[in-house]
Amino acid sequence: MSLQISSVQRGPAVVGILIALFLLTFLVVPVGQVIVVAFQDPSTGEATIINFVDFFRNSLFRESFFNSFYVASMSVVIASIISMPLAYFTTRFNFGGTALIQTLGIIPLIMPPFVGAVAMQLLFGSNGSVNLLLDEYFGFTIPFMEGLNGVIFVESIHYFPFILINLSAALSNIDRSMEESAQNLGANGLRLFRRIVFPLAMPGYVAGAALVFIKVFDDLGTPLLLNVNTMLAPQAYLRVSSIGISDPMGYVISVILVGFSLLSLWVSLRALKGKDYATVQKGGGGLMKRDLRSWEKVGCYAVVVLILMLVLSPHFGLLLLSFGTIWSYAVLPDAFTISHYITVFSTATQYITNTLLYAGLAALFDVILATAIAYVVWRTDLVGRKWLDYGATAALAVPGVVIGIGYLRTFHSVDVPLIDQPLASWWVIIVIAMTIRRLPYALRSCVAAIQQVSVMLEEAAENLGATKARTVWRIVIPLMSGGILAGFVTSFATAAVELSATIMLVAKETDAPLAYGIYEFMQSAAGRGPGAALGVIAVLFVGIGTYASHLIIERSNKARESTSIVAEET
Amino acid sequence: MTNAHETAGVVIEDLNLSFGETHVLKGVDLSIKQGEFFAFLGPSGSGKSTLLRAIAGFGPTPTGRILIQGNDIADLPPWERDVGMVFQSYALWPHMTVRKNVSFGLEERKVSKAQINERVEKALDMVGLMDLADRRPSQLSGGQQQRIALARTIVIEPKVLLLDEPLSNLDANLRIQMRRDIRELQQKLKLTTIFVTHDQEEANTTSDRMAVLDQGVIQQVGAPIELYDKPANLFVAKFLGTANIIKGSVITDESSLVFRTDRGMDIPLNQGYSHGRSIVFRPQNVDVCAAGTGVGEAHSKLNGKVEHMEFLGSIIRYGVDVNGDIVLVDHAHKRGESIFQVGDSVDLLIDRESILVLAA
Repeated sequence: MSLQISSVQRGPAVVGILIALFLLTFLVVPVGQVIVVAFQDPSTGEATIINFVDFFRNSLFRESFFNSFYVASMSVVIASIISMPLAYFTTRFNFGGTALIQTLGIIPLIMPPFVGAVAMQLLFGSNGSVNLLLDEYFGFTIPFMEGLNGVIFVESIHYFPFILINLSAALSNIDRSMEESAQNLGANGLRLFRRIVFPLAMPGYVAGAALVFIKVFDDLGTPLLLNVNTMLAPQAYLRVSSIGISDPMGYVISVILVGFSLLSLWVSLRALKGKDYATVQKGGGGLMKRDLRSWEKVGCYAVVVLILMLVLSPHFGLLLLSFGTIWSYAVLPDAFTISHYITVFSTATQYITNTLLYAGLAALFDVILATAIAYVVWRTDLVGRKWLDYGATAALAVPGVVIGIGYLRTFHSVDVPLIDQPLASWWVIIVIAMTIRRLPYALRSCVAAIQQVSVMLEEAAENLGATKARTVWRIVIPLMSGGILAGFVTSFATAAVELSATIMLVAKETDAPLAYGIYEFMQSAAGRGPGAALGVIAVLFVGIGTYASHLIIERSNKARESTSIVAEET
Repeated sequence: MTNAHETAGVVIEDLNLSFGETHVLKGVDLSIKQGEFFAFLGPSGSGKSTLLRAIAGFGPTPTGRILIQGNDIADLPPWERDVGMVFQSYALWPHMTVRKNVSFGLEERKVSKAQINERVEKALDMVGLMDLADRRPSQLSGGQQQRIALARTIVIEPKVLLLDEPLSNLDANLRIQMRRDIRELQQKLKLTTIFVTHDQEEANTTSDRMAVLDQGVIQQVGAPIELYDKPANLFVAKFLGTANIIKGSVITDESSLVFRTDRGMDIPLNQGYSHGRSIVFRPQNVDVCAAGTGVGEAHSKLNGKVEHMEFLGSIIRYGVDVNGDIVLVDHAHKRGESIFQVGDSVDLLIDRESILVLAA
């Protein structure tokens, strides 16, 4: 009997071990390597905390640490200020602009912040369009983009949707009976808000805020493009790229970044854990909504339109930059041209083809890995199967910079047979970095998909003569296809604009993907036009990808609704 | 022993099964004849579905033997067992058309294309849903889905057909139609069939024989009428219809046999045994009449007071307080007949032949 079981389990066991090896090689070992080096004396190799002491003795690093912390915190504050009125409008009022606000929640996410950073400088910088106009008509300027302000401004415009989405979800999950029973017991107005609405919405807000904090804290591309180098991630990158992979400071910074990532994720999970305040009951739904008076409506629309303009400004600026001839000390470019696009398509197509190749391969590996992990975790009883899920998800807590440094350190001495080149400088390592970094997204998508497949559908197939493998092929994968496809598209779209790990792993220009190309172009004033044109192409990639994955999920949800009627009757 | 196995459709020997610490099936022994329609009847949690799934090869691995037409299949994976199962919620694959669903098992058996087409048509014809072959399961009603699930299973010509509460998702009228259809199909195909249900009416109307399960143990096996009339224990008596159960003990002297209840009443018996601890009789075997009516040898008389009364249409069910025990009595209702009221003093006449003495 036990022989029979093991032959049935052998396939999944082999697959599980292979995945575990992959995760071990390309996630655990490189990150472990980084941590070990950070705690090692560079000359003797002994365990020590001297590197951390050195780090905090150095005033540049102290300043960088403080700046990163300040920028991340301020971004949370600004993002909260943008999100709160929007979330409040949609959940408390019968407000026609709800669809507009939902769109607002998606637009920023389709453009990586570093892509729009330069365009934002031209719009909001000290000699940018807005300040030129302000100066001309009102005689004053606002330092939106001065130093750290620029990073905070760009990051909060990009990341506020994380707070908006979580906060809106939390607010709309509060049942009106919660509010009514409080009113019935005598609470009203501000007291009602403070004692009922606010505590119930808090977990959602904290979860969103923690995500914003860590995304900003880890971001490398935006400060680099805005030329703000006194922050942690840029320092790590500059140390490794200028001094080399033996300098311990890059590793110390990496450990700090990982530490803060873990802390933020922990805060975010803690906020939500056990506080699943889904209080909506049958027939209920959402907080009490009231109609707006006409002047209130005007006010609401004014706020929404203002935020919309702000949110669209990177996109708008990028478009102007990509079609403009010369744009400096002027509200708008002097003239318009398509020559930047011609430049891109005549000299920089390798960036686009590389990106299609890398992101395509990474997304493909991601969905294969994710489907296999989902199956092993949810459909077998292999010992330790949960660790595959944990392992793959752990990549969320590892900033791109750390992956980059870890790969350089671990694989610079590993030669790839036949091509006679270290693995760390072979283009495939970029694909692997993208695969590891986007695996958590694909995994969540595939896990959600497999949980929707009733085990009974598989048992029916086995009962009619299909082996486990045949059942996976004919039943499980087809039924998961919506989730797998959505996972592929999400992984592809986000891998296409991955910069922080890629920037360290690009060994030669001809291997570079789009994100790296944008970064390269944006370095020089003359390259901004073509850089923006490349940026527009990147936004199109991500935008179309996001829309496609949205459609796929919608469609498979619909298909599922019709089938779940059958399943629910059990 | 071996001879018996060859003629038997399904034989289960000393089957034990646990979910972790919970012992779900406890030493199940069962022999089902070839071509028999057999029901597993029991309350939820009795282990009936677990037993069915163990035959199909799903769930935790049991110990013991499961023989189908003489071959032990307990060690085979589900796909090599050749037992067709119809799932409670049908488990039709939503991404395949009806035709694809039905041909699945034949494709897995590498049957030739032409053969598949022919057999699928025949199976769909048998359940009367030929016109729906190109629909998706989600476009079908519950009853139609049920038929497709049945067609999908019988098309592979399994050695045994397993039905897991197949009627529970249908509405009442459809259920009656469907159980007749299933029975008819089974008779036509002469297929050994095991039907799991918690509804005794379903088991009674469809099956040749049935096993009543409780807490992982088979309580009794037999034809429906046999089980109803001669329950082996209190559980079977209570589970199959309404039963009056009175606790006490049997008292024998040379001339008569009497059951003395714990509350001190004597009920004369026709048959019984000395260690009997309770008597069982059904409400329809008792008649109620005004106090003081004479009684013959065929009946045992009890006197009591009407405690409650329910009018159920064709019958009136009285609850009569007999010295502290409530006895249920079903009285056939005829128009114009006088009805006893709560508080009336009445005599109960129990048909002595129908009184069953049980040990527990």
